[in-house]
Amino acid sequence: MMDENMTIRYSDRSQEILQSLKEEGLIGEMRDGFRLGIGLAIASGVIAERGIRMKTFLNVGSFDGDGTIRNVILELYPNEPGTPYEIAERLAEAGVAEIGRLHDNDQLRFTDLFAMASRTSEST
Amino acid sequence: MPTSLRRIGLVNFGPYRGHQDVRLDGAKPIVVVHGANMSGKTSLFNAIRWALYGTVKDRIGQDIRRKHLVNKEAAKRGDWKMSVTLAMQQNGTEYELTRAIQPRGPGEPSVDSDFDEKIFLQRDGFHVDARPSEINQLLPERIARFFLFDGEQLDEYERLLADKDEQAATIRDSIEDILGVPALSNAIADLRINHREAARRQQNLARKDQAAKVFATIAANLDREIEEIEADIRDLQKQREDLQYRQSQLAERLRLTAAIESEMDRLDLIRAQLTQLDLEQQDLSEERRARLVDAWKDLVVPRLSARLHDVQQSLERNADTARKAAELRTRLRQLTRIREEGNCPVCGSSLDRGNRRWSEEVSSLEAELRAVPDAVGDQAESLQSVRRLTSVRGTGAPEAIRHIERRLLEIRTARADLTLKREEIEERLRDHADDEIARSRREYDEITKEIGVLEETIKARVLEMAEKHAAAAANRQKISKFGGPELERLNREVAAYDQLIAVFQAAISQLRDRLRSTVEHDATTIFRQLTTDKSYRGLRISPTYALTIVDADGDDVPVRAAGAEQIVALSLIGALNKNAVRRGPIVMDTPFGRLDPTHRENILKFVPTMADQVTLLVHAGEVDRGRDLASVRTKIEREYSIVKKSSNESEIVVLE
Repeated sequence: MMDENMTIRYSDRSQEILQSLKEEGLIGEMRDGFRLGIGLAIASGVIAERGIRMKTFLNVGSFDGDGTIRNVILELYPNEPGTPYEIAERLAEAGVAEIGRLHDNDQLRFTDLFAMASRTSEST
Repeated sequence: MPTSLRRIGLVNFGPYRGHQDVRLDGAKPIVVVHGANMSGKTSLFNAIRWALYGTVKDRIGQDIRRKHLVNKEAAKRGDWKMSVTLAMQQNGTEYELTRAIQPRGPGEPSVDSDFDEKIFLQRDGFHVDARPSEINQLLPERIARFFLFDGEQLDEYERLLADKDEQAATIRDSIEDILGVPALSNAIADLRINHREAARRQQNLARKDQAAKVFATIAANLDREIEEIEADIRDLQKQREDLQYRQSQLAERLRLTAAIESEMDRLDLIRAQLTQLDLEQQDLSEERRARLVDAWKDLVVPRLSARLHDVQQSLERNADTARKAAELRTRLRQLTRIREEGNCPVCGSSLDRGNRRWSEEVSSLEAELRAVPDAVGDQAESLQSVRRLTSVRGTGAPEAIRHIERRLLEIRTARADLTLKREEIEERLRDHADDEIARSRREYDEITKEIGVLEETIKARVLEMAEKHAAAAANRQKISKFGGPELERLNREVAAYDQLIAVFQAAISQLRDRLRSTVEHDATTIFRQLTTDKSYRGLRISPTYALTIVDADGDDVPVRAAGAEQIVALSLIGALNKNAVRRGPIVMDTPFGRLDPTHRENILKFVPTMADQVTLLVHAGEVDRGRDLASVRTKIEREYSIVKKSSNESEIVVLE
């Protein structure tokens, strides 16, 4: 593992999706949607490619104060290149993009996300 | 005075863009116009009413604005001219009535006053003054409800007749109009004129007689007083009539207001329900947002559990390895100590330290021990993993969110349904201001009081007049006593008119009783012909011409289904038309809407006997052209179909 990040970053597209979810009252804070994206990506076994253009989103402290997410990534992605939070950023990109796709198609139901994640976990 | 409709000509009326004609003349009594719902049947029906009376009401009784009557496609193209022409025949005279509107100025008209209205009336090809009274005599508005009727609102007759207000009186009067009661009322008015003339001639003659002169003066004074009272009564009655007319208009408006208020209550309820749903939606959304904060954990828990399982298995494997290493070390330590001590730990005999088996055994154990991996480092790592993996637990968010989203979906559906209903009601309530309703109610109350005062005054004046009449009659006796034979004869003439007036007054009362009895009999005959339930004995009529179904035991049937209402209303209308002194064309819009096939067939068979000319505006759900019309095919002059070309345009075509 490389040195730890001080900040968490996201892409313009993720920002757009998270803002939209927040404005529509689907999530309270953008960070909630970001974490949900990470959870969805982990459950679905997907991760974004490295090298996506990103900008600063949050301080690590306000994103993962107790280090739970970091620990989860350390446990589940021991061989993935990059720091835990870099991996978290790529997971969030993949998960938030999927949430955005469902939202754009007016198919976003969180119940379905949980069901989908549960099915994927069982099959892997 | 039989009246028939020969043709309806439409220009840009409702869905009918441009000029369209419907011919209704012919030897056979029935014309059928077929049209799907929303195609323009009611518009055709409304066109007749509009041409005759200048107003069209929607199904909750509100006047439809002129701009909403003009064809939308034509209006979009800037053509706001609209007209309806009715060609009619009455007692061999041809009439052509045209009512037309066009905008007063440039630009899109908005309110009714933005249009100019013109009415043209031709009699046998010559233009005549299109006075309302002239038009009204073609088909008086007062009795129009018995000729132009909407099947969807047939129960209105029965309801109105059951009412105790002026509406019931108005309908009762219009029923008596159609049955000819006014002929007798007019006769009484004529007799009064004759009576007055005879009395005047008697007075003139008496003035020339010295002995009767004084009584002639008294008679003249009494007559003048009577005339003044009569004029006063007429004036009061006219005032009362005007007020009653206004009252009936207001009653109608308030009846609609009651409907509007009921709609408003519904609207309030719907709004309250929507607010409630919005609040619930907000709460649920808030709860979901709160649940979603940590819901990512629920998403990763299955993966963490799988990983935990692997780590725990690894830990178990490590424990096995450590146990095995411990056993090997113990054995090795035992062997080493025995060799060093040189005695058997069991029997104490000395051992051969140089024995090769000792060395081989120790070497083998040492090799085995070396092969055991050092699990201590791995175990510490695994234990750290277990701590990390078990520190993340599910929050129960999926189950909670599943309930929340299911309810949110229900709310969304309910909201959509309620919003649609709210919009429909708001559209219907457009243009109805609360203050206008309150004003109508105040005016109605004031008029009711005024009518009460007028009635009291009329009653007092009538009593006064009766006294004057009695005094005049006594005075006439004196004139004839003091005068000659001619005065005596004139006195007898006046007395004869008095008696005749009394006879006619009694006749009106008897005629009413007879008419009610005849209408009851004929309505019963029609009802029994139309109804499929032959156990009913018939119909019973009330003094206001309301009809009640009578069962086999002779008891009234208190509750009627909508279909039964329609049969009873048709029976009443059939009986009225049979006994009418005025005969006219019947136009029925959606006449079979609520009826089952057997009732429909019964009514179709009955329709040709209702009037000389019947136009039926029907939709496919009511009447199947092939099946239902077979029994009356020989009575059908012509059939039309209303073809919907677009949402704003329909065309009337002849069916072959």
